[in-house]
Amino acid sequence: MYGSYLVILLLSLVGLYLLDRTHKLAFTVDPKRAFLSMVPAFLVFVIWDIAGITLGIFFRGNNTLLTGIQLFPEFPLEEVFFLMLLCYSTLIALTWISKVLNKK
Amino acid sequence: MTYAELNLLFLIPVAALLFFFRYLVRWRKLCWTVTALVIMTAIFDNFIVGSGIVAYNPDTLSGAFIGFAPIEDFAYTLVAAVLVPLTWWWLGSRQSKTRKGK
Repeated sequence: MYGSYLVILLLSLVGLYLLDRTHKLAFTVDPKRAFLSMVPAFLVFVIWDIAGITLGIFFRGNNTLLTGIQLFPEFPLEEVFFLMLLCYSTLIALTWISKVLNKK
Repeated sequence: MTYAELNLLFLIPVAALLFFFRYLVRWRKLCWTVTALVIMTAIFDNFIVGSGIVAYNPDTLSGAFIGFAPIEDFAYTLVAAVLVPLTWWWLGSRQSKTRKGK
């Protein structure tokens, strides 16, 4: 369905935030540290993506799940949210794992 | 340039950072984070490659796949699972220094 990938990404981000809030993990505890901890990785991924696209290694697939909005040629709007999801998933995994291990 | 060669340009500097800042690293937490992220990537990447959201030039791939997902995609996972924790710990170490200084 048109645009469903964006919806999946946004729902996943909301889901992560709910985990964050329920278990008091990252943004809920220290929003500035949580935000800043994802900035370097996010920027590296944007550069990496643009390099991969420029070199013709990967590109936007031809399908109806995307909105079709592109920020650069072959760089869909959805990629920004995917990269946010990758960084935020990592942060939630780390802080959750840390919390569990610290309790032991 | 192949996908694997492009990845090395990012993996090597991140490995160097990990070595340089190794005094910050909680290794057990890092290992579990990497494991969790690799599993989640294997699921999510199969969805986005399998459904055709992203496509690859096969000439640039090594040909090793996990399901639909080219093995090279896991370089992103490794960099996320190292760089985000490293930054998180580094920011934490700066905060505790500031607190001590006050």
